[in-house]
Amino acid sequence: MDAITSRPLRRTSVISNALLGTLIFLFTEAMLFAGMISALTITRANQLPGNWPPPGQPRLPFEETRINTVALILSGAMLLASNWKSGRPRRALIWTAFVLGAAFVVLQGREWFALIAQGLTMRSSTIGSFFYLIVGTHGLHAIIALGLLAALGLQKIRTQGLNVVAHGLWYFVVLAWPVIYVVVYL
Amino acid sequence: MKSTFRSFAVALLLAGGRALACPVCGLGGNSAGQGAYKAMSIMLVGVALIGIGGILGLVMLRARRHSAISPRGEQHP
Repeated sequence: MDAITSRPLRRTSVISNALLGTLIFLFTEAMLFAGMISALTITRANQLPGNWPPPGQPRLPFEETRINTVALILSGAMLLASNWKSGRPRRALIWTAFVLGAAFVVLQGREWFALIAQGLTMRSSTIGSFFYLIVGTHGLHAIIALGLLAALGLQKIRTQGLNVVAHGLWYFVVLAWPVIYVVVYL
Repeated sequence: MKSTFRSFAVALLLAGGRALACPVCGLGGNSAGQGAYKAMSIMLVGVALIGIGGILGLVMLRARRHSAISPRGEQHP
């Protein structure tokens, strides 16, 4: 039998399993953060005027966190630029994105130590509970995504699926932060 | 189909504001708290609709492009 006619028909997929799975995963993550932000907003609105943050609790450092925010947004831009109009990803830009992302996590850690020293803990008040829950969950995502970015930089990721997950998770971390920053810190 | 979807979306958005289903968030507290509850209900419904709609929209867009590139009946090598 002729080799061409004996070749089985192959189905081509409209969207890759990796991309669809990542999108569904990121959607559930968005709903998780939306739920937490919703709970914080309602709790804060139910407080008496001038009672947020509660007495004896420090104000969240909105101005200082601007630097972290800029670092994270730049990191997302670097990752975007690493694949921009190029067949092969530019590793230098991936590493720049990693360093900026790592700076964000380190600066956040420093901020946590300062806030704990000022008496803001998970159990000290509602603002403390929400702050550590929301920012901590975001930080956990950032750390996992940083691990994937490092693997991208080291070219340890060889499958297209994991590549999509790494990019998708980092973009999610970058895009979710400005919303969290404004809602939680203001 | 489009009008059904729109009606459903509008009904969902309005339901968020009307339901006050959670006795703690919706009925308790002050008027600001109730306003926040309604706003957040709408936000949660909106995020869900945008998320699911976005994913379905992307799949549909790709399917349309896919069928435009390879018309029905053509065998993919």
